Amino acid sequence: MSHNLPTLLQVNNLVKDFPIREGVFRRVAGSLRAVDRVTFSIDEGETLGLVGESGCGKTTVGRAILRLVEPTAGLVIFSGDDLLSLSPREMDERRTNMQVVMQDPISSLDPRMSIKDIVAEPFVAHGRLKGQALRDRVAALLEMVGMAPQHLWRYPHELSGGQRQRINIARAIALSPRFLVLDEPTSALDVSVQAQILNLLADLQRDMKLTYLFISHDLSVIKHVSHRIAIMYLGRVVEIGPVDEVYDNPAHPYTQTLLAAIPAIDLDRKRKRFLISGEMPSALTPPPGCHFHTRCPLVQETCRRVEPAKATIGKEHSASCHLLR
Amino acid sequence: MRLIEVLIRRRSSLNSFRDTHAHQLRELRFILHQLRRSPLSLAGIGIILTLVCLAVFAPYIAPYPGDAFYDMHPDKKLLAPQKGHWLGTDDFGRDMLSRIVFGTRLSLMIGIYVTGLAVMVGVPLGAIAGLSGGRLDEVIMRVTDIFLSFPPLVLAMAISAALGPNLINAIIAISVTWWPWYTRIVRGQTLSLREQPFIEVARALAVSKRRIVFRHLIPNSLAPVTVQASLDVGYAILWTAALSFVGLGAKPPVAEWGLMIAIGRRYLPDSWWYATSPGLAIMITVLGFNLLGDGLRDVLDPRLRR
Repeated sequence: MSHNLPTLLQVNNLVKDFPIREGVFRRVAGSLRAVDRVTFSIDEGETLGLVGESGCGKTTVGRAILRLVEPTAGLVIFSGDDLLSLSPREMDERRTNMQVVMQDPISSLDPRMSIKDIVAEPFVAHGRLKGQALRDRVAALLEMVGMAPQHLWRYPHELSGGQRQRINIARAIALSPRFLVLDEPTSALDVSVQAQILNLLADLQRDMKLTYLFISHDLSVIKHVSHRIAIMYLGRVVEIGPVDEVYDNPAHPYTQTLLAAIPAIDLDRKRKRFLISGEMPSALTPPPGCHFHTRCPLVQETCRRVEPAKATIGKEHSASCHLLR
Repeated sequence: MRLIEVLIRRRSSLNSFRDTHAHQLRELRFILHQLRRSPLSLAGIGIILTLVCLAVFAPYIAPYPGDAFYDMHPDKKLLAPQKGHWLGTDDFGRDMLSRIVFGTRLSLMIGIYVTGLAVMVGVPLGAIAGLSGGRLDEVIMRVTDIFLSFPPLVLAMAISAALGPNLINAIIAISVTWWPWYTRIVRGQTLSLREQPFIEVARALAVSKRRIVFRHLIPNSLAPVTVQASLDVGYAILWTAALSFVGLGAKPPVAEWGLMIAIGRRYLPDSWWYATSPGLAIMITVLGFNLLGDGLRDVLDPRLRR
């Protein structure tokens, strides 16, 4: 990736707390920190892969950037605009520039709407096109995502999983956005269909100069699509860097264990093999110090008390671990 | 030549209608197929269709159409059921059968108006409450609680009495007590729907709240509303008859079933047919809508499907 491209999205110390309510009066009894001071940036035309186990907060990051959930604190700068300071109406004006494709293709489509109405909705909602022009545009969008015009009058439940996801993508790119949050867009699909959808996304990125935040737990998919990746653990980004750097030279013990867990036919693998046991701790009671210390094979005394600072490993590559000091 | 062209054009527009609405047609056919397998709901549909025919063709079916309005025949007063007056006559010598047939018109209209008004008010309010949550939700739901905490018939009587007793006001009064049920049904539906990804995507597209409510939330919560509405048409008829019975609805000489029972009651037990025939008419009508509602519930409830 060349580095002279302008930054499209800058996320600084993003925090999202969910209140926990208890008892008859729904009193706020505490809070769950789903996203803990997450910082990253994405350049124009780039794909940032966001990886982590389920429940680590990666989906919440995507939703918070789009303000589908309101972040608790932090800064989101999109194309020069401070999104979190905008009024809902001002935010709505910018929404045409940023769209989302969600994990479950069927529940992302209104079961009572035909494919034509679903793909036309962005235009209708913004009063952009009407009548024949609208129909032509919708047909063109279907073609862009590899669907035939005869699908126009079908309903979501009549399509296959891959076709449904194509419709989701067609709707997402309808208003020619600059930025897409792809929230596990392929994890509900068969492997062969996954590849088609990934290729489609790559083609669209090239043709429409799209910028992606690609959220996934699938490391092989992430490696295939991303320019840079960020690894999340329990609400925090533990390592971020260019994809090849991170895969060849993982710095954080958690990244190392993750990469070691990729199933691969690699008989003489050179990688160090780490195995971790147990579950990710509950976000309700995150461990003090480094969040990973409860499962880290290299845990030290400081890890249990002090939160590690970010350490620079290489160009654009950094990780948060005491061992890197 | 022209005629053929017109016919061809009509045929092709029919075909394109078939294409664009293939899904709805299939759905409709499926519903009809399901209904056909349930004899009770078929009976309900049969009753309702018969009533609709009676209502539409009342002037042709009723033997003495004028008797439903201002005709009087003092010489034929309170005749027992007999040839020529199959359900007897009332205290003004009017043919009961004719008045009941014309009463069908009124009753169906009442049922549809009351249910329609209740749906039009209750459904959007429920969707708005469920979608917005927070304070607006609280306000709407507490208001519906206030309405639901009154005995509905008492409330309807009070409203009708306050507005001035006539049939239109009775319809309004009953609608006012009725909408909260729809608000609750739709709010419940909306609460589960609004967590659905397609609603979140719509928000990401900056689709207006109004459009989310009317294009996404309401169409997706209509199945239970349809069931409730088909049951309610029957109850609305029953209740309006009740209001008329206590003198807070239709006024003589309107041929309204509840009013006919109220007057006929005075001639019991000697002229038993006077109060009995409109009573049976009400019973059969309510039964018809109940059977249809039950049948629709079985068909539209996805948990019971297949």
